[in-house]
Amino acid sequence: MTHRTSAAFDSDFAQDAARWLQDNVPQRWREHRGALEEQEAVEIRRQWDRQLFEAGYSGLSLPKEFGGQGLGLSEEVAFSELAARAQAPDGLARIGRILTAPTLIVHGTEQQRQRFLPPILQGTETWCQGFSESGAGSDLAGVRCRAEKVAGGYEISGRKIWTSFAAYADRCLLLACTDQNAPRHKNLSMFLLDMKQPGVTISPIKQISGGTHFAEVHFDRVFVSDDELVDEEGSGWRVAMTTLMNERGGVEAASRYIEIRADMDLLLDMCGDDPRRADVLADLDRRTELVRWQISKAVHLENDDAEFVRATSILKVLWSELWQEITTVGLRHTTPSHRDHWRVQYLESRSASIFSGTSEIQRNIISERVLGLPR
Amino acid sequence: MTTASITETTDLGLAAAEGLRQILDKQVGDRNIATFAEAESPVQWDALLRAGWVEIADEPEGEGLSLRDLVEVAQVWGTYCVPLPFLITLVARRNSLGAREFGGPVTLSIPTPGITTGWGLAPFGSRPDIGVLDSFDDGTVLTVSERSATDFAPTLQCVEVPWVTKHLGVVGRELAVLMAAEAAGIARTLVTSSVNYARERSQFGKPVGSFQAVKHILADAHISAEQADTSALWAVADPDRALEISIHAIELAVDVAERAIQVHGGMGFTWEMGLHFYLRHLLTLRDLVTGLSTVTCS
Repeated sequence: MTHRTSAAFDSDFAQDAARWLQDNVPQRWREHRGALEEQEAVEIRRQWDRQLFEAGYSGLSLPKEFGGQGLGLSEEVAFSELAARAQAPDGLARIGRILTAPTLIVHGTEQQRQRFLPPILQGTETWCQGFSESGAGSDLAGVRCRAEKVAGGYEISGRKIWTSFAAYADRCLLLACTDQNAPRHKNLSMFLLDMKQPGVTISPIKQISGGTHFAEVHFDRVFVSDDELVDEEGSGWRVAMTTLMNERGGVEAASRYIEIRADMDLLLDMCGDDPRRADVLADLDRRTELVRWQISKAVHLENDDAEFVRATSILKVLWSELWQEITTVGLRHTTPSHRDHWRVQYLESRSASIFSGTSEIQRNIISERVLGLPR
Repeated sequence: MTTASITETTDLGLAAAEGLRQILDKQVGDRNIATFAEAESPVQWDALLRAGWVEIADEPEGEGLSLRDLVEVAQVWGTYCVPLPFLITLVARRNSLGAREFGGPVTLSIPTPGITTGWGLAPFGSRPDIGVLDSFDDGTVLTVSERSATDFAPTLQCVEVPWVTKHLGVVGRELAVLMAAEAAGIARTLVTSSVNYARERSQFGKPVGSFQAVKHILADAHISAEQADTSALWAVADPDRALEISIHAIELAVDVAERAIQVHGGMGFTWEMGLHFYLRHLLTLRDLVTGLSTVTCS
């Protein structure tokens, strides 16, 4: 009783993409995803970014003038779904594509866009995000990593934590404090820091799943030039809000849908025929598809600010908590051959309701900013 | 039909919904449901008829309003939860010459869980002017003679009828989708009124809506209401799964109603506050759509 979505994808774009994915998803990934050594997995994912670029599938919804494909969120959604069906890898370029690029399009200078957008889209420069600190998690405005003005730029000193892709990153989208005496929300600035220079120390953080997908990064008087300051000094909080909106928005959710759909399909393949699980699986399957429809609905509300926020505000909570439930059920009813996969996914998915705004912070945002409840 | 197009609103649907909203806003406004759920409807059937609303969907799919357009209309209808057989009559007329010729409000007898086998539940069957369509295959509209009243949901005024409407076919799907949309409209009303209550009601010297525990109940209500709305759109787009998705939408709206009662505290548990009318309405819709799912072909 494997349920797959029945909405037809009959646009030329979707048909071409489906064919391309069919021919290009690496077989090794398709068959051994999850069981690969980290080094090999990283290589496949990096290569995948380049394949996407060469085929014209990188930056689908970014404007053409900035090197994107000039398509919409609906193509992002369609491509994500097709990629999910084709069991495509998740590239390493996601931070650059989903966070840095849209942030630079809104706040960057012409020079910054020309310098940084092409390698992001080509998959030749990998980015990490330097926002969280041990003392500034949910309370992001409490960032203490310092940026001290020096001739021609700034010197960065401090620590960032939970930094995904740090070990592979060429650049860091870094939020630092430029004025310790300025009022809250006026004291931060956003930088485009070169990670490959002296003074950057990366210490992997071992996660509960056993992996080391993120790290603690220590900056010891690391230089960033004035050209690598985004917008202006003191506007970092405002710039960070643009970044976070993208991190919690439609494109990110569409890409998360890939992983969740794949796990849901595995669950159906594993115990879809078991009548004792039918109700639970049908419910999870509907909710998985609902994530896609929710994104799709948001696509058409892009020009209506209030309705758009209403529709996108729930995405992060939806997909993160759904993924946790799916992995919980997967682990509980796993067959021996899938035990390792579900153990890893179950543990990995615990992070989904914590990173880029915990579920609790998301619910605060919904209740205060969407519903207008008092602080 | 692509994923992209179906979540998009149509001009026709929006215009129809806006027209209906204006009428309902004028006649119902922000009156509490408790003031009319058990009394006379604040909107008269004849007024709807005179304004042309009863005939609005008479042309079948492809010629007049599409099911997608009617979803917009049904959501607005749900927002006000007026006790009139509006949606069910639209669907009956749209699919049956007999229903159109009858002229008055028309209902269907739908097999539902928990009632006598062979009997059906007919929403608004207790109205003296209503007729029950016996079949969608050259059917005729009969007046209800033998019936037993059920008063669980006053805004749906269901009665049990000793036979069921035959050949529901695609009609069941249309009705299910519109009931899902109606439920989504109810869910949004409940979120709005609960948020308003939480802003006004004060305890410990502060609005209860400023407490995080209460905020998160409302955030979850919003999450469910949004999904109910999205589910109704999905149900239009996916005829094969329309029934199960419609039930899912109603379940989500029920979740919203439960949270609304919790946020209203002791008042939420009172008959006079009226939240239970929405909950009863939703639970009955769930029964009806569950029943439809057993007899509908996609």
